[in-house]
Amino acid sequence: MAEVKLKSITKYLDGRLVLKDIDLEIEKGARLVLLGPSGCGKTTLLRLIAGFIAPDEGEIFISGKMVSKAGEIVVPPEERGIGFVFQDLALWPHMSVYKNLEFVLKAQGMPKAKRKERIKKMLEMVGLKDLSSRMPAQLSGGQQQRVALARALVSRPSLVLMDEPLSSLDWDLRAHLAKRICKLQEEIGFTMVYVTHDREETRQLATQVVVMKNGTIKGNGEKS
Amino acid sequence: MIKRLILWAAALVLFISGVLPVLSMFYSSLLLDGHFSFSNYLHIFSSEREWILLKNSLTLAFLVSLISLFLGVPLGLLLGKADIPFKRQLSLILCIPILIPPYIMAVSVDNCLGQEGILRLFLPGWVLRSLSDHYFGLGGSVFVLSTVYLPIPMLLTICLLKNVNPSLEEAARLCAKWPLVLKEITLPIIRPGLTLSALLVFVLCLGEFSVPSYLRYQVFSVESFTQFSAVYDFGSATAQSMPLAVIALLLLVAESRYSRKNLFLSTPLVSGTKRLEIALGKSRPYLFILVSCLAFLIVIVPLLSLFYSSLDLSIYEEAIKVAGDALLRSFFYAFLGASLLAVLGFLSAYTIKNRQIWCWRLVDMTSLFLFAIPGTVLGIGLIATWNNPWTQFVYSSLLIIVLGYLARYHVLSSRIILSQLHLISPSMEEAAQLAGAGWLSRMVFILAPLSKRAIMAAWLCVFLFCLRDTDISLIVYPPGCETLPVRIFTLMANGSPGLISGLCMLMVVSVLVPASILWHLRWRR
Ligand SMILES: Nc1ncnc2c1ncn2[C@@H]1O[C@H](COP(=O)(O)OP(=O)(O)OP(=O)(O)O)[C@@H](O)[C@H]1O
Ligand SMILES: [Mg+2]
Repeated sequence: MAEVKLKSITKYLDGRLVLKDIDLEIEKGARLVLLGPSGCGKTTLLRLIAGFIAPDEGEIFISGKMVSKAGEIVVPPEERGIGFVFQDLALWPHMSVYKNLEFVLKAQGMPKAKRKERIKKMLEMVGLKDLSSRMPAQLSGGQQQRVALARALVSRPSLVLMDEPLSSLDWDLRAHLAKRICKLQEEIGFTMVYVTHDREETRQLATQVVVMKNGTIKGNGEKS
Repeated sequence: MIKRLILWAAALVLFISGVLPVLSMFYSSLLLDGHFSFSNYLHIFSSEREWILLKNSLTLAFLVSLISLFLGVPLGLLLGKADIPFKRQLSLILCIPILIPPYIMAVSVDNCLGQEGILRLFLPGWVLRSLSDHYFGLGGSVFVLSTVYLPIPMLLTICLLKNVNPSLEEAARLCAKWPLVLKEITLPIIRPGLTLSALLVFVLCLGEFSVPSYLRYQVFSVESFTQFSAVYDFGSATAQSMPLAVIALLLLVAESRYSRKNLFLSTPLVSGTKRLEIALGKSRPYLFILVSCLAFLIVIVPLLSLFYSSLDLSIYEEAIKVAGDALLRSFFYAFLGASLLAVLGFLSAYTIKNRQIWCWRLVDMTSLFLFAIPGTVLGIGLIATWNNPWTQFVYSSLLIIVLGYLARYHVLSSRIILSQLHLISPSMEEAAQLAGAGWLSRMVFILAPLSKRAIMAAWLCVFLFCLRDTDISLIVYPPGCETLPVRIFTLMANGSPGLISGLCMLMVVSVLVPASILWHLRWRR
């Protein structure tokens, strides 16, 4: 069964047609890369899947359950079990790295001892275990990016959405982190939707590539 | 060259209209019969009465800032972020009290509680009597001033919320419900701005004198006004206002600590990105009823009561007869003040943003300081400065009132325009410069049109504040130059209650028309 299913999704923003009749299925455990020129509606698509906005037409299913339908968010974002890496990372500036991760687990009601263990493990996985008490502003761009990744993964979501997470980094670091994301995905086994402009990242990461243009899907192909 | 000249001239206007009075007043408080002496100050700290006054002032200001913060922030969240119906209308209603002279709120609440008041129709006599017994004094002053200053934290919350990066909240919404997101993410991020709004309410309350004086609550500012107007004792009036000026100075220190983050009164007027709205769900109707009841109770009922007790055409005829000239004058002075400040504020904002002259920070700080000190202090200072044989043309004409406006409300204009200038990319001006445009034509043809909306908003905002000004004009007005708030305040002692209500209604209406225009500007994208 598909992890995510979009059924003829249409979305207007301020009266402008942004997404037009999108149909898309994402298999469980896939690494789908979403390509397309700036302004074609990639971020809007992710925000629809996350449940920040409702579609104007069509339905969205996650793990077989209908989560959004025309004009209505049926399941709110916090109940969808989604991890999200934002284009601008969106690290909470007033919380340390540890607190950033802890907020996610605390909101789910995980007991303190378990939280501590989980965060420690997660920070080790992304190679940040020595920086847990730093504030986001005291980290380099690459380190911040890894914190954002850790925060999106710490609750073990089954679906992770990434909106050009590496776009602000230099080429070397990008290749290195793309490899790391790939490895994490293989270890944990979540389904991933990854938005990028970068051909190299696409080559490294994708098991499935979707190309968008002007709010529609132009191409959809499997890749080994 | 011409650039520096004009910017310096703008800064100089601020210094002459505001700093000079404060300094000359300080100077004259140190003179006793032509000799240098601290006795005015020593007297303050030795008399027990002064300590009681100070305690009363601080108690009042503390309670008001606490209440307005604890009501204003939730209201700001509901009206700025949640899907509550009629939020624009509700926010406008809740803002009315800050737009009219504060003592008019005191009069109208008094009016509702009175024997002839509107509440008589709903409440039994003994309840009304016990309410009105408690009205005069601390209780009433706290109630009225909390109503008056509630819009400051409320509007500031709405503005600050627009400045929070939306993805910070979205990231939190992925794992938590709204209450937790607000508590742990949104509110902590805007907390510095909220603290400052409470501080601002605190200092404005300290300087407030019309309300406590009407409600006969003895505070510092009332005392220094009485000292000045009854005994004409410059020295002790000044000395008495110094503690308040010092507290205003403390606000300044606090503000400068945060100003680097641009959090305070410098939020953009408009913003493009869509934000998540809080869906209130089942509690939506209840919260709507709650907010409406609050607006009804603290704003609509008092104003309706004024209207109710002036329901007679002859009252309005008489009101126009006794105060028509003052009304016209009010509009004219406010128009003058607002127009001058639109230009000065624009120049100062440019100075501050581009750090054009070395004292740019001083311009910024001074303007905030002059807003925070009690209007009575500024007023007494203006008299101390201009009341001498050579400057009678200022002292005995409308100029002295306009100078007071320029000093007091400079910050509103400069901060509103500054927030817009921050959004304009420097390359706009640079491109025009490369094309060969001189500084003046860049200002007139590039920057001014780009900040047109902000300049208009600043003009209206200053206009409203000049229109409602009581503190400064009541002290400095020369004969034949009374404004409407002054005329009403002086008539209050012996005018008939019906006439007073009519006059107050006149004031309310003449403020509400420009205010609704401002509101329209504020909410349009
Ligand atoms: N809040 C909004 N109101 C109106 N239009 C919007 C809004 N947000 C986005 N749009 C428009 O919707 C279209 C799609 O935007 P979206 O952010 O999804 O593009 P994108 O593919 O993510 O672009 P980029 O690669 O630059 O991030 C754009 O043309 C944009 O102008
Ligand atoms: Mg995007």
